[in-house]
Amino acid sequence: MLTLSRLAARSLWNRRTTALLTLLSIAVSVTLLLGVERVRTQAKLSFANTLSGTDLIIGARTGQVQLLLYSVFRLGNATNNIRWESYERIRDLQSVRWTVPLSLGDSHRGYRVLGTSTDYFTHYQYAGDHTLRFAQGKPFAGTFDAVLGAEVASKLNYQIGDEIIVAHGAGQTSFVRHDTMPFTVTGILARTGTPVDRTVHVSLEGIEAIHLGWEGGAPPRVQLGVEDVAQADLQPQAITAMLVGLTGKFQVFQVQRWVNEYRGEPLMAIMPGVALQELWGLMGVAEKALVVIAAFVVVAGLLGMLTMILSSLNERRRELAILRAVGARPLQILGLMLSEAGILSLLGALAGLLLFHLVLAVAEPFALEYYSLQLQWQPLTLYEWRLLGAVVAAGVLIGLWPSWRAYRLSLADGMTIRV
Amino acid sequence: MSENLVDIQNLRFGWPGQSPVLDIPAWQVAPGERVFLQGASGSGKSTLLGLLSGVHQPVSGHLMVDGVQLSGLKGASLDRFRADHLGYIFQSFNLLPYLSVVENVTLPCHFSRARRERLKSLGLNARREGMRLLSALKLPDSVFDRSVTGLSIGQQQRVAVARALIGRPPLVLADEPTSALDAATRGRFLELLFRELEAAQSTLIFVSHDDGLRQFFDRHDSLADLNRIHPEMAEEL
Ligand SMILES: Nc1ncnc2c1ncn2[C@@H]1O[C@H](COP(=O)(O)OP(=O)(O)OP(=O)(O)O)[C@@H](O)[C@H]1O
Ligand SMILES: [Mg+2]
Repeated sequence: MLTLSRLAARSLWNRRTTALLTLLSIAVSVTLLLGVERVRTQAKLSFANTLSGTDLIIGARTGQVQLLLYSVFRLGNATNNIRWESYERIRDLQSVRWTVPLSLGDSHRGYRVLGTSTDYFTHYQYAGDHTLRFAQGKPFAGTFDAVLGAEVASKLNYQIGDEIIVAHGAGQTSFVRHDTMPFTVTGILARTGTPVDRTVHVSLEGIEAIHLGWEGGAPPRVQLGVEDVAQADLQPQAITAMLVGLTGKFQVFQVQRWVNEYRGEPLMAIMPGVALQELWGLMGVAEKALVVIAAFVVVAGLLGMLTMILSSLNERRRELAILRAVGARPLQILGLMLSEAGILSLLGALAGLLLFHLVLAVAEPFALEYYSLQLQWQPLTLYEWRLLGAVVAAGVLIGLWPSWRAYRLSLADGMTIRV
Repeated sequence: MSENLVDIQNLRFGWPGQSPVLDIPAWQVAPGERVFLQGASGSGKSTLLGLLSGVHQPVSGHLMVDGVQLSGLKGASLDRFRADHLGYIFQSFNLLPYLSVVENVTLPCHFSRARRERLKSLGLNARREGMRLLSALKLPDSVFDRSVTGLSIGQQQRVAVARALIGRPPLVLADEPTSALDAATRGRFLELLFRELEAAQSTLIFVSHDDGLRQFFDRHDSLADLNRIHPEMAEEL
C-alpha cells in the first residue's frame, strides 16, 4: 500500500538534489543548535564545578564577584590583603574546621603562582567531592618546592626536578624576576578542568622568601640569594584570601556575619555557590545571545525548506491534478505536502543529530585541552530531545503554508492544469 | 433513478468572478456509449469534464452520474465518487514521474476501496490486473517495473488508459488524450482503448477540438449545440 508519506518520500526522492541540500541545511542548523546548547550547559557545569566543599571565601572587602575572580579564577588582582593576625583569628574560631590561606601576586611565564599551605591539597574540592590528585610527585615540603597544575606542566613541558623562576607581578613579560631563588618542581597535579590546572603552587614561606627585603613593591637594593633565606624569618605578614571549611552548614551565616563585622580590618566573606551563580549571571547575556543565534540559524534552515517546497509547487501542479484525478482528496493533498515537510525536517533533525555526535567526537580532545571543557559523549538530555522535537514540529508547522497553497491550487485547478 | 449513466438538466457553471461558461439545458449519455464531444478551444470542454468528475460544483441544475446526484454532494463525497466511479485521461503527462509504470496504473486503487473490492470480487489483485491491462494495451513486460520517464508519448498514454480502467470504473473521461500522438499511433491507441472499454464495460466521454477524430466514434456531439453560451469568436483570435 502506497501511503501518503511513502508517496511524499518517493516524490522527494525524485527531486533528491534539492531535497538533499535542504536536508543538509536543516541538519547543519540542528547541529549548531545542539552544539551551542551542549557547550553552554557543559560550560555552566564545569564553571559551577570549579570549587566545592568550601563554605566561605574570605578576602579584603570588595565586590563578591571580584573576590571570586581573583581567589578562585586567578583573574585580576586583590585590592588589599588580609593581615596574618586576622587569618589566625578566623582560623581559631569555634565553628571553623579548616582554613587554606591563599597568597597571590606572582607569576611564572603567564601562569599565576599561588602561595598556600599543604592543607590546600587536602581541602580544595571541585566537581562535587573530587579532591586534588597528584599525577606525579608529592606536595611541597621545603621553601623552594613547587607543585604544578596539569596544564602548566604539559604546556611548558616540565618534569619533576626541573627548576623554575618566579616573576614578580602577574604579567606574561614581567621585568622583575626572582631569579636568584629558583623553585624545584616536586609534584604535578592531575587534570581537574579548573583554574588549578593553570596554577603554580608554592608554600607561603616560599612567597615570603622571594620577597625578602622588598619594601612597598620595590625590589631590595642588594640582591638576596637562597643562602640569605636560611637565617631569615619567613613568617608571612599577610595573605590575599582564604578558603574556609566550617563545622556545619548552620555556621555559614554566623561566621559570614562575624567576618563582615570584624573590626580589625575591612574583610568580607562570600559563599562560593552564590558568587559563582552571580558571576554566571553576568555572562548570561552572551549565553542567551548564542542560543538565539542558533535558533535563528534553525529558522533559516527551515525557511530554506519552505522556499524549496513553495518553488516546487508550480512544477508540481500537474502532479497534484493527477492525484486529484485518481481520487485523492484535497485533504490528502494537504497531508502529502505536510508529510513532505515532516520527512524533510525529521530527516534533517536526525542527520543533524548524527553530525552533532560526529563533531563532538572530533572536538572533544581539543575542547578539553584548550578550553578545559568536558564534552564527553553522553546521551541526549530530555531538553535536547525537546529541542529536536521542536525543530520537527516547527518544520511541519512551516510546511502548513505550502500545503495550504497546494490544497487551494488543487481545489481551483481541478482537472485543468493551468501553469 | 434514470437509466442514463449521465443525465444533465439545466446545468449552469461559471468560474468565480467570470461570466458563465456552461449552460446546458439537457444532455444524456447511456451506459456503454462512446461519446465524442467536439468543441473549440476555450469552449468549456475541460470545465464540463471537471463538473462530471465532481471536481467543480455546478452553480445550478441537475447533474447525475452513474446514479449519483452530484449537484447535491459536497467535498469528501465528491472525492469518493470520483475515486470509485471514474477513470480520467489527460491530454499528456498523465503519469507521476517518481512511480514505476505498474505503480502508476494501480494508483487509483489506493484511493478507492470500491475499485479494490471490484477487483477482489473478480479474484484479482491490483498489481496483477495492472500488468494484465498493460499487456493488453501492448506494453512490453520489460517496462512494467521501470520508471515512466523512459516511455514514449504513445506508451505513456496507454499507461494512462490502463490506470483509468483499473478496477473497472463505469465512466471514463478523456480530455484530448490523442492530441500529442501522430495519426497512425492515434488510430492504434483508440483501437486498444475501445477494446479495453469493452472488456471493462465502461462508458467513454471523449472531448477534443479535433473534428478529424469523429470517424472513430458511434456518437458525436458538439458542445456548441449543447451549450447556450458561446464564447465570442474574437476571444479565439
Ligand atoms: N481553473 C480555472 N479557473 C478559472 N477559469 C478557468 C479555469 N479553467 C478554465 N477556465 C476558463 O474557462 C473557460 C473554458 O476553459 P476550458 O479549459 O474548459 O476550455 P476547453 O474547451 O477545455 O479548451 P481547450 O480545448 O483549449 O482545452 C476558459 O475561458 C478558461 O479561461
Ligand atoms: Mg481543455
